[in-house]
Amino acid sequence: MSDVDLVKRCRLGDSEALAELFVRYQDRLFKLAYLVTRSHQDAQDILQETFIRVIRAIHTYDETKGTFETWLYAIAVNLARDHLRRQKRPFLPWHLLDENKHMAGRAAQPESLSLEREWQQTIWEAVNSLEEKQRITVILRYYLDLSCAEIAKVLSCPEGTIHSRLYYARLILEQKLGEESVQLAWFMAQASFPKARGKLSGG
Amino acid sequence: MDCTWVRKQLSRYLALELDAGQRLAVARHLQSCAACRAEEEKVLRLERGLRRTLYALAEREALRPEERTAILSRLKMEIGRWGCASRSFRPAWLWLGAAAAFVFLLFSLVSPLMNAPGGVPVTQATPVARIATHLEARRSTLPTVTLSTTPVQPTAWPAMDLTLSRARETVLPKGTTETGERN
Repeated sequence: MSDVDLVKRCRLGDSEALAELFVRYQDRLFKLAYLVTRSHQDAQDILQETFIRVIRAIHTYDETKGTFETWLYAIAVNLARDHLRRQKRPFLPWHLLDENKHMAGRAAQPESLSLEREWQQTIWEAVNSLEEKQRITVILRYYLDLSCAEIAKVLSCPEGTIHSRLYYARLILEQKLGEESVQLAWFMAQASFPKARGKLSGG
Repeated sequence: MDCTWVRKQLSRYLALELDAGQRLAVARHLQSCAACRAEEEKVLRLERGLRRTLYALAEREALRPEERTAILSRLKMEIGRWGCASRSFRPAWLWLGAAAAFVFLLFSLVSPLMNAPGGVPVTQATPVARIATHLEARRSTLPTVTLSTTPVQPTAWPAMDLTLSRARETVLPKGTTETGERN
């Protein structure tokens, strides 16, 4: 069943339809919120608050203006930005995000995976050095695989703004990762990147 | 073709987001410009690295089953409170207004039936119908007023002494002049 059908059922008071939407989007919303806020607890709160807002405002959603998915992401991103403003959370380095899991996994890793982790850490730190708007745009683009048009709808700004934000973010990242780009290239040639996640057909 | 313009489009070119004309222009430029081809490689590597990193980091965190259960039960409570639908989000005044309009319509339809011959006995009818019966009874006790069609003839005005002396006697106390002095 498509998102539009579920939204229609939701509007008629069908709580099962809302539960279905929750199951469909909970994972990506939680991870999006986690990448933006860098906190498990905040991501959990944001996920819950997003769906509470959906319950209260489902009648205001206009399917002619965008998909339900982008509407949901817009709510979650706004909540995440509110969290960041309130808490002013400092940047957490990779190894502090989840130290135990990281260290436990590290002991048993072969050299290639250890190198991969180091590279991921470097890239993560570079991403976190971006200003908030650029960072969120990068996360929407490269984690959720949203197009520029979809990101523009999520962030409520013109598509051209998203193009330039991504372009300048890329320049900054290239500058920060510049010297080690040869090593990155070697690593990327070795690594088998998982196939691009398909977007949901719903919406 | 301008290299700067092409480099700005590279991310969208790789994501197949350019229209056919732009895509062709970028592809032709890349064939002829080695520097831009190297830039394309760099962009490709960087984007792969970003995707892989963000994906790996996100995969390390997941909602635990007990957290999911807690959120779902919180949402069920919220649904119970709000109804999870537009029907429940309509403001209360809208429902009250609709109910009042329905009651008014119902009485306006029922009242003529009550007063009609052979209708429902008013003694067993609604309070509004009883009030209507009471008013009808009161109306029968009032005196009958008939309107005449003949024009009313003007009657003669009573003779009035409008002279100044007469007025003065009427208005001023005895022994007082018009200026207020006593004689």
